[in-house]
Amino acid sequence: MNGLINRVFFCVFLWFFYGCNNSSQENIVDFERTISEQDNVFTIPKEIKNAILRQFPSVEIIKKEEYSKLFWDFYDSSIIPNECFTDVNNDQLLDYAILVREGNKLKLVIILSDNKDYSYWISPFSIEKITAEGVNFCVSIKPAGRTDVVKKVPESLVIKKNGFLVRNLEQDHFVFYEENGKIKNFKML
Amino acid sequence: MKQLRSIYNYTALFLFLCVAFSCKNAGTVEDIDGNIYHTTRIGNQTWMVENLKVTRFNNGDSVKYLKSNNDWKQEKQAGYSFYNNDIALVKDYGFLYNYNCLQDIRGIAPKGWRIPTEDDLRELESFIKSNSAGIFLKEKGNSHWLTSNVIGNNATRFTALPGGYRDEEGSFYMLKSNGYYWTKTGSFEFYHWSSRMFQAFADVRRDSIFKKYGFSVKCIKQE
Repeated sequence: MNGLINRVFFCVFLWFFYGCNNSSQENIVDFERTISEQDNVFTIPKEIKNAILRQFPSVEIIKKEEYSKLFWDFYDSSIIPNECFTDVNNDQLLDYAILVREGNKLKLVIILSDNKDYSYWISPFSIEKITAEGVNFCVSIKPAGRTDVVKKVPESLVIKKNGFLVRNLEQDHFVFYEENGKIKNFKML
Repeated sequence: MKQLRSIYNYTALFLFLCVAFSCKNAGTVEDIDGNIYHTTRIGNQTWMVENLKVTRFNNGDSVKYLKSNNDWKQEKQAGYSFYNNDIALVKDYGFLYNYNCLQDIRGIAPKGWRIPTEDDLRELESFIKSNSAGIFLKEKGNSHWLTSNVIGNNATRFTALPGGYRDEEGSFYMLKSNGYYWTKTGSFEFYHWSSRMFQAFADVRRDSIFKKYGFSVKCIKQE
């Protein structure tokens, strides 16, 4: 009986020692290798894209193939240039931005989520006149913070929430952001 | 023979307790309130895994809880709050501390620990040696972070969380999408959509308004 207790004691001791050794050891990881574990690509859900077309019947969603050759000289072909998503109205839900064409006018649609429904906003002005060469503008996220620009006079924008950044190739062009329930824009050029 | 066995048993028990005790110290740290934090070794540094949620300085004095926007805005001393004053969020995200907490000589970091400096961040980045440091530092998956295409894998066990921030007016922003942490002189940030770690939001040397902001705290061990 005593022998059995001794053996159990010894096993528990070894188990504890191994666990302890493991928890205090230096973290040695081939970090870059661990990236390959990520293979998910999240895009704006199809039902939301369909709802955009119902809300704004005169628009078409910009496709990746519509981008100019020049654009792909700047960006890797794996990126999704025409849409992105983050929380822009501070409700911890994803909001979406997507570039659309209305005739030859490039416009931005922003979709704000709330718990039950979505609200849709379209830029009242054209971001770019789309030519035969293709689209040169992309949309990404502008994190909360300060932006300073120098036009004729210096101007600053401080956004407390995330916004959407529209770029002409690699040049920042507009920030679209939410304030008091309304979408506003800040022109950077 | 019986005596020998008894000596053996006592020795085994002693060793067991020694290992158990040293193990507890190797993987955790306790603050003055008795909160236990896990720790992780990244290169030559040891970081806290959970965000700080201490309510007292190391000498036992209370850190002021600043609930209302007005309290937060007016306060010139060290103070803390938690996102939306929702106590349920503290377990995961910890507290948001103002800048005065970091500078107070009574100290909010547990004994033997401190607030990280910019040099600590440089060392962390140089150990990871990747432009995608955020992936390895953010908590794995989407249980706290909003959905994105650059989900953290937490290979370092650093476990960065999107605790948001409190601004100088006392308003809370960006829970679940952005995580802000104090260094001694500013912030470092993580975003749900980005694979990188940033240091662009708050620099109190350039703009003292950020002293009135509230960010999460992750302490680093004094080596």
